[in-house]
Amino acid sequence: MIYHFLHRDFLSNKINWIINFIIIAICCVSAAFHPAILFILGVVLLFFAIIPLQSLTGAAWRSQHVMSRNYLLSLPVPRRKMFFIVQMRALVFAVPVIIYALIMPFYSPFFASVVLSASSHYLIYFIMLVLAIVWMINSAIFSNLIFEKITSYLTKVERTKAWMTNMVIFFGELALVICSFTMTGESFSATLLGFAVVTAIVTYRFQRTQKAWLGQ
Amino acid sequence: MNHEIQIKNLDYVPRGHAKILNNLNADFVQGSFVALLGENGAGKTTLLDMIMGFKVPSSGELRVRGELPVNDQWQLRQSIVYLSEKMDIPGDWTVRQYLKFNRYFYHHYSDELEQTLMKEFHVNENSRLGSMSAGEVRRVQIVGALATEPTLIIVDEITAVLDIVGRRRFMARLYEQNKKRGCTVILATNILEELERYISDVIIMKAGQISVFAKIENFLKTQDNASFAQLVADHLEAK
Repeated sequence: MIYHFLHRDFLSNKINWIINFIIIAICCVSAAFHPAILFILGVVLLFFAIIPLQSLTGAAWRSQHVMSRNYLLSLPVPRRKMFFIVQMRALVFAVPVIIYALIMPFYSPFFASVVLSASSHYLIYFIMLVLAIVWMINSAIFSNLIFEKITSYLTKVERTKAWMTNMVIFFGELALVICSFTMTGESFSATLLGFAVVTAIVTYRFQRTQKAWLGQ
Repeated sequence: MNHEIQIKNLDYVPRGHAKILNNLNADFVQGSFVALLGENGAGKTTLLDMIMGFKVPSSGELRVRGELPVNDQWQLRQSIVYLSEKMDIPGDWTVRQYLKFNRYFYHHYSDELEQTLMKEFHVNENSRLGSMSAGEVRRVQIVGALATEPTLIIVDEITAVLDIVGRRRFMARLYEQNKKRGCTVILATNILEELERYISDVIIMKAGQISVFAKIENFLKTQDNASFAQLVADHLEAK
C-alpha cells in the first residue's frame, strides 16, 4: 500500500528529485571553494522537504488539483493507516535534509560542537532530528486544517483568539525544539532532557494532527 | 426492508458555530434514490460528510448499514463511493494515471465498465487533469467511481458543474445502478431539472432540519398542476 503511494509520488515529483540532486552535486563541488555554500544547501533541502507537503497531505484548503483529504478518507483503507501513509510520504521528501544534518557535524565546527562530544549524543541527535522533521510535517498538516476551520468561526473575536492561540503554541513548540537541539552535546543529562522535550512535543503534535485529520 | 442509513436525533454544533444540524431523524432504505435538496447552508454537505465519517456528530446517532461511520469500518467503503465538489486529484496526473491509482483500492473494479463509461462520458485517458475544466474532471471521477460497482453512491453537488449532456448521462447511469443493481443513491443537488424522473424519495432541508421527507409520488401530489421545481421552491420559501 505504501509503495503504491510512494511510487505515484516519485513519478509526480521526478523532475524535483533530479533538480534536487543536481543542486546537491553543485553545492558539494562548490563547497570546496567556499564552505558557506553548505549552509545554503541546507536551506534548499529544507525547502525540498516542505514544498510537497501541501499536495501530499490532503490539503484542507479547496485548492484545485491537489489530492483532497476527503478523497483519501473515502478510500477503503483504514484511516489511521492512511494517516501513517501520509506521514511516510512526507518523510521521504525530508530524507535528503536528514542525511545532510547527519553529515554536517563532520564538516562544520558549529555542528560539531553541538553533537560530536560523544557517540551516544550523536545517536540521540539523529533520533531527535527525525522527530523534529515529524514535528514539522505534522505542524504543516495541522496548520492547514486548523486555519481553514478558524476562518469559518462566526465572530471576529473567536477567530482572532483561536488564531493567536495556535500561533503562540506553534512558536512555543518551535522554540522548545530549537532549545532542545542546542542542549545536545552540553552534557549527557542535558542531551537527554532535550530529547525528552522533543519527544513530548512530537507526541502531542502528532496526536492533535491525527485527530484533526480524521475529523474528530 | 433493509436500512441503509439510520439517523436519530442528530445534532452538529462545531466550535464557534451556530447549530448546523438540528435534531435530524431519517431512515434511508436500501435501494432508494434520494434527492437531498435545500438552500445553500441548509446542512446538506455536513450531513453527507457525517455519513462518510468525515465529521463526528455532536449528539444523536448516525449509522450506515448498522455501523457508526466514525468507527471507521473501512471494509464497508469497498462498496461506497463519494463524489463531491470538495474532492480533487493532482493536476499533473493523466486520466489513465488517476484511474490506475484509484483502481488499486477496489476489489470489484470493472475494467470493462470503466472503458464503457469513458466512451460514454467522452473521457480521453491521455488528457492531463490540470488542463481539464471542472466539469471534465468530474466526468473522470464519475468513471472512476462507478467502475467500482458500488452499492451506495453519495453525490454532493457535482451535477452543477456538468453540462446538460453529461448531467443527463450521469443521472441515467445512477438510475440504472439504482434499478438494476439495487444500489442506494443519495444525491445532494440544486439542479432540479428532470430530477423527479429518477428519484424515489425527496428530502428538503431547511436551516439544519429536515422539513420534508417523502416519496416522490406523494410529494408531487401535494399540489396539483405544480412542477417539481415549483413545489420545492414553494417549500423552501414557506416560513
